[in-house]
Amino acid sequence: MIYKLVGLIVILTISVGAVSYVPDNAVSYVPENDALTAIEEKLLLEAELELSKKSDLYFIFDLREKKIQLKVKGVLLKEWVTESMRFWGNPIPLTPLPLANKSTLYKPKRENITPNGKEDKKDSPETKVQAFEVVSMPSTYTLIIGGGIKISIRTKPEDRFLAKLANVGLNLKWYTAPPLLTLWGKYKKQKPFTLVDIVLDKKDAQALYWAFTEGVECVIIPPRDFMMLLDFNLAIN
Amino acid sequence: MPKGKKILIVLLIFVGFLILVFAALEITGYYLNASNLAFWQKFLKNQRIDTNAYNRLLKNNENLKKKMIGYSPKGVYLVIDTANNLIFLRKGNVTLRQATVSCGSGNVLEDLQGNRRWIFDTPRGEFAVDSKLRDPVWIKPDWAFIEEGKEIPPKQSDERYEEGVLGEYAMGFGNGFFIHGTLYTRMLGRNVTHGCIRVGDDDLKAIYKEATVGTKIYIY
Repeated sequence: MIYKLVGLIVILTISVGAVSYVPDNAVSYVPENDALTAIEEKLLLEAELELSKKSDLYFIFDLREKKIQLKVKGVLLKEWVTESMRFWGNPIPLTPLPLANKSTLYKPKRENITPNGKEDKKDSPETKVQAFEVVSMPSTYTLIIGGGIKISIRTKPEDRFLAKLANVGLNLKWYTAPPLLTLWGKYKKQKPFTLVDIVLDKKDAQALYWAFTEGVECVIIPPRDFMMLLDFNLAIN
Repeated sequence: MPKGKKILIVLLIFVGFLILVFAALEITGYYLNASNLAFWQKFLKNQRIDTNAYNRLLKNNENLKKKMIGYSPKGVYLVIDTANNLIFLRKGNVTLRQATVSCGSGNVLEDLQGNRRWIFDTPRGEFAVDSKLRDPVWIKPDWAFIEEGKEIPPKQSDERYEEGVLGEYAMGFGNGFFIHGTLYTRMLGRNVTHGCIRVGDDDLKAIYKEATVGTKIYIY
């Protein structure tokens, strides 16, 4: 009798276990592309919400849609369309990043006012305006972003021999310098870096330099094969 | 073999060796970069989300979008583009009016003793209209006298009060900065002011009518 009872319990236990067991492939999973799109959207919204809490301007470098947006409190103030771009180095996380510095060969200089009462004559047609205006801004420069990211901004070469030659030089630099820097960084155990090269219209490049004040924050939306997801579990919860 | 030819061959071998070393370094650099990218791509591809987690994620995203909308300005607001000297009166994503203005010159003024320094930039960021004035009177600050090469009068002196130069209307947005009219209409479109925003008469009237104390101003 006792054997029959034990046998029955064993059979019941095995049956319940078998019924409650759901094989891994029975759980329905979302296609990889949809899942990543939703995660990216969440990370981007979280990053923008963090920036929108402040009164400061911020930038969205949407490298996927090839546009750069200037925003505040979620309001789009200005948008620039990029002509082309390329990447090198470490993938980029979807988080707010600070602009550490702007680097350029020729920094625009402010004019010093000489006190002489010229203000009264400012509306005469012959008056020359001495001002720190957008046309004085450089069109080739580098934005140094936190997290080891450098964004080079340049313009399409003009139809002049020297400009074209300079462009060949820049292209040569782009294809030869980063691999050597990567190797050097690995040898010296430095933090990985990212280089982004963006070509803009000249006026847009100058306006971007004007608008990009130091300390301003930005979010970079990289192409998917250049995206870094630091913590997957954190991203979906 | 002549000595000159020997040197040339040695030189060619040396240059060839350098090119080979350079190529090897370049290929290694490219390989390291590609393997790093492949690591992160593999990491992304290996993640899976079940339908429940996905639905939670979508719902969460909707909530985040609603929160974002909560931060955006209600009613009309002003956007000022200091690079192109433009002002926009907007409501939501619609521009109700656009006008050419004059913004800060970015010039620098120092007093003769070198104790004080002013940079005439229009401030950037988020602001709000904090006062609305009709027929405003300009109370000239110290820099106005220094710029004109004049003696600085006492604070309450009549010399400091100047009527008519700010146009018919002015809207303050903090720290002595105003959106106001101008006598120098020829300079609209140029960066010539001491930080204030000068607007032509008709546009100023329209903006003054729409804006209230508290209207948001976004300057970039």
